[in-house]
Amino acid sequence: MKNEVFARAITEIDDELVISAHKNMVPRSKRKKWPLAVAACFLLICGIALYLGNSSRIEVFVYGNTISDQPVTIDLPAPLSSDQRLLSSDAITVPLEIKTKHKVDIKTEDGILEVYSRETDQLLCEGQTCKASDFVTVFWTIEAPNPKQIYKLHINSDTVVLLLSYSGDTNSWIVNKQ
Amino acid sequence: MDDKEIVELYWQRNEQAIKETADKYGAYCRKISLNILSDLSDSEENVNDAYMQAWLSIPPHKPDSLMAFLGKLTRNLALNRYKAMHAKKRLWNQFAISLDELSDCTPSNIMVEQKAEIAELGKSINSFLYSQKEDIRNVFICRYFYCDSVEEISDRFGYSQSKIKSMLMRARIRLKSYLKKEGYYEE
Repeated sequence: MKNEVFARAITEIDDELVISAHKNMVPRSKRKKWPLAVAACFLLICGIALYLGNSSRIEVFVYGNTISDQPVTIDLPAPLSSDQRLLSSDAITVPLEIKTKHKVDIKTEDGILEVYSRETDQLLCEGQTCKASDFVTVFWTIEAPNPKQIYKLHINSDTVVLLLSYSGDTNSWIVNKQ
Repeated sequence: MDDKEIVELYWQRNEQAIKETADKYGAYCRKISLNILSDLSDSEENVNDAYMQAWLSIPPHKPDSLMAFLGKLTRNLALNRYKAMHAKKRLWNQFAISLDELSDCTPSNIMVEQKAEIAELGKSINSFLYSQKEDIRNVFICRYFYCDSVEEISDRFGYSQSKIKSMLMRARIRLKSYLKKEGYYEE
């Protein structure tokens, strides 16, 4: 038998070594698995956060300014005069620009939405519920708005909620994120 | 029952010693046999031979560690059986593969019949193993004493198979170098 010499010689090693090697054989199933589980959970949470971060990334602008929780005044003279669609005295129109990577649902129970492609200026949708993607212009028009009422526009359910209200301090309509 | 009590039964020539040995170390001896012989019925016979050999050896022996004593006994008997059964045809099992890995380390100037020289070589391997880190030493013994597969060792120690192979390869290179210094290779 080839290498029998070595096979026989290794049988001569100390008992202590033979026992030690056998005792250190801990089946994987008995090993602590929690570090792996914690790492897996951490990666999963990061993945979900990244996915949600990307998927819910919806940017909304008015007059080129990002809408935040800080109110933006709507009835500025310059934009109103630059667009014939905004000139109705009985209605207020909020000219929004929405930028998103994914398809979003835009919904309001107050007024009418008109969604235009930023690229072609083509009317894509009209009504109280519209779908949009990429970069669109949305005109949110409320006929005979009541200054005592707060109007809401939802993007992707409650992911982004815009509030349109009348500010007595500035005597103007303002929009901000909820 | 602890090992001392079992050994005491052997010394009293009480046949309960064999039953207690089988209960406590049966699986351990079967695993060693199976790794070398790769056959369940051969392994079972080999383990029974080991119990018989233990019965004949204790007394006069009084092993400090019954586990190591039985492990070595079972291993030696399995080596004999393997040699007898596969004298002409090589069986490519884990044992043969593990032996093949050691072919580079095996001194060519010692014959199987030279028991004293083999015992000396055993002492050198022993010294070499004590000079190694504990995890490397244990992996080496699992592979070359217990003849466990790389996959089994990887599973038990929680290292990847490639890491185990790498640990073994580097240990063999160091062993060869160690044995060379000890004068085991003819120039």
